[in-house]
Amino acid sequence: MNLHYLFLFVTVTLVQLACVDNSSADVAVYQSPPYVDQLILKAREAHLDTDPYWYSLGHYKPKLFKTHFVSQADDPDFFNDPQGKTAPAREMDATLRAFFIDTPGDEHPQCRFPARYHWLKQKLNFDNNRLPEQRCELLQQWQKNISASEITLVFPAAYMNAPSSMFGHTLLRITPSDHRKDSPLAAYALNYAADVNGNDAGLSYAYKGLFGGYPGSFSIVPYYEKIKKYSDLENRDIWEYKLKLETHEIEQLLRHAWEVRNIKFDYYFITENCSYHVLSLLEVARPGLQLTEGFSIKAIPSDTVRVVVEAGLAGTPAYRASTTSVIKQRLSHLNQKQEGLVFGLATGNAVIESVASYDDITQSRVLELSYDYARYRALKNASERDQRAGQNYQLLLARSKLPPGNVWPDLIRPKAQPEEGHDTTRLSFGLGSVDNETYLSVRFRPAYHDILDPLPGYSPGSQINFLDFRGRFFTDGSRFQLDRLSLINILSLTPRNPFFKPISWGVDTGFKRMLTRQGETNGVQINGGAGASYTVFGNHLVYVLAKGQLKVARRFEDNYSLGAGASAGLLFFFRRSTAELSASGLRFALGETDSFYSAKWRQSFPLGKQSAIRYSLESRDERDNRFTQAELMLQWYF
Amino acid sequence: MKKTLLTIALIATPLTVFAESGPGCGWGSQLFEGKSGLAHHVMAGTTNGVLANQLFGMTSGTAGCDVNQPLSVAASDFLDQNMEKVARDMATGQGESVATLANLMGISQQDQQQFVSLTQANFATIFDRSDVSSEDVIAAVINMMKQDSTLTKYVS
Repeated sequence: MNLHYLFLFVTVTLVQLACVDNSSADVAVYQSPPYVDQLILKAREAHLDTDPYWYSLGHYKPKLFKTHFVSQADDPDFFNDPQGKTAPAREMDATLRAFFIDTPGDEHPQCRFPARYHWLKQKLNFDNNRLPEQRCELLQQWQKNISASEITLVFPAAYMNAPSSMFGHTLLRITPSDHRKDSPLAAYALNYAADVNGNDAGLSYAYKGLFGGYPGSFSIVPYYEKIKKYSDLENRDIWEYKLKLETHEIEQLLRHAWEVRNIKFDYYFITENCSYHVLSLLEVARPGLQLTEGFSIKAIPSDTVRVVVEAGLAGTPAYRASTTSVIKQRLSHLNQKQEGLVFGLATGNAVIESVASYDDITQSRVLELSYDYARYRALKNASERDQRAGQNYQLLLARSKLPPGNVWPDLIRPKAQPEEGHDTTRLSFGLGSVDNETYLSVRFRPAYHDILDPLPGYSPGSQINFLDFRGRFFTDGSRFQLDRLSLINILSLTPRNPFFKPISWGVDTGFKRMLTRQGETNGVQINGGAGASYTVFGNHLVYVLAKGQLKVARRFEDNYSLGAGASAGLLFFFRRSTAELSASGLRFALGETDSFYSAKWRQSFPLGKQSAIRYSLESRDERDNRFTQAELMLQWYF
Repeated sequence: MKKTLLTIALIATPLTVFAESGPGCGWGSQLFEGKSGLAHHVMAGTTNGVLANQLFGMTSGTAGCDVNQPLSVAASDFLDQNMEKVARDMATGQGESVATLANLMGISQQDQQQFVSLTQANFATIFDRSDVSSEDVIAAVINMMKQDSTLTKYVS
């Protein structure tokens, strides 16, 4: 196919050269140039090759100082010119030429690049007598089948257990105009994702993910498939933002979706990710939108949602609670005895007849919730699914004999929507004192949220700090010190109860200032922990984690120090602040031996949405030295 | 399984509400419009269940579906992929999944309540055992609709 174009391109070029020769020979005879050349000339005169919209269509992004543009598409099939990736103007000429190819069919460039064709046709007023318009049957069939009438931006909230979804995800839902328009489940999900090789794990996965080692591509699947994945399997709440797009904008978006349907783009978890490409699609839908501009360094899904809302493209989202959110909320409407019955029925330790003493509504509630909870368990544990199939069926059978209709109060939405949370880049300045030495401290973190940051829009007890840098400047002696640079720091504290038993865990790795027997040094450390947390005193949280830590530095005896221990803490979610009281102890027994104990109190007060004030008090014992540290910081989110 | 499917093909007769035409793999149209195509389209609908391969709405090309044909979300696929949710909704007599099924079957808004109530009343017949297949469920639903004066028009 590409050879075909190449051949054509060469032919056309040769013909052109021949023409030039001819015309220089017969200067006197005027011949109007072929229509294709007229169009190319017209396009140049109108500067279409440098039009921002042409860049959007070709996914061209400026390189340093905007001297030249390069397309993010990493696939020769996306270009009509062999150098199309780096030469938007050449690509435009080649695209116009390709539209003249006289081999009809679905592979015709007009059919493969319908969004380009549509735009250029409008801009250049194609004369279809001289540029015959192709019939694109597949495309038309596809458009008709989807019959898009509405586009929704879908944001499944963060999912800590998969690195690619840690910050959340975004996709587009395309709702058909026909009888399916009132059934979002039957709509389509247009999704951009990395084609991850299942064999990669750990570092190789992280490396490839961060540096474009995986190809990414677009796909369309029924929306219910996405619901199953996010709501049922991963238990993520979903926010659905209906986009305010005109019909012709939706049509152009779909045309472009068709253009990129089989095109590979290198996938970068942080930058050119799902959310970035969703914005690219919207830029094609509406000329003049510049949504991707601020996201060349990182595209955090919630930040991209914010941009879409701020651009006036979306209003208040619909909230689709995950399976576990629904079960948790509904359990709160039952008393303890009924809860016990739900648990018993779902696990096969109670008989259905025992609901009979309740009124119809309560019976229905207990039966429904038992079924929902049993299904939740079955998804986690396949053997339970088979064991309980009969019982689960009986639950529904019993429910079907009770009056029809909804028996539950409406679900309560979280107080803040994801885009109402703080921005994810954080810069802090502060003042501190350690052992009576005062210092100025600076802290910078490009993403995303820690447990003390303002809570609205984020889930309590979860933390991802990415590239968190901390430095300090001692006024006495004028020295600057790198305190730590954390590559990634994750903490996931999800409370356990009789129904849900998630593991709380944390991991933290990066460079850090360390104390060795021979004094201070910079080294590399990794630490991780796992344990449990529980809700206490209403909405507060207590946690205990078993921990291990490896520190590596030249100055250590044998270059390393490996230890184990535990940490425990109380996380307070007050009305106007969040605070943590924590204690940890580690014994380093391998490599250079040491022990470490610390007790800490930290509290943070949000000042509006995008700033906070935070202080911390810490006492720690390291290598038999006692340090007392206090710090006050002002933080800005942007 | 094939035999059951063919049986449905014989009992299922055209349903004009399904305007969604074309040679796609979405067999919803075929279920009620076509006569011979049903079986293999049902096959396509169920064997395509694993959507991992489905790049961009192209069904993965099993059972004679042209890979270049657009995917369409059809009643059978939906039921097959959402049995537990549809069953729950039918038992409770309300819910998004059963409403979606009704929509995909072409049942008009005003008749949907009737459809949902009826599936609750007939739950024990539609889901007559815990391991009932989606084909049997569809067959039972169609049978139920045929015997109902309001819903019979969608299946006759």
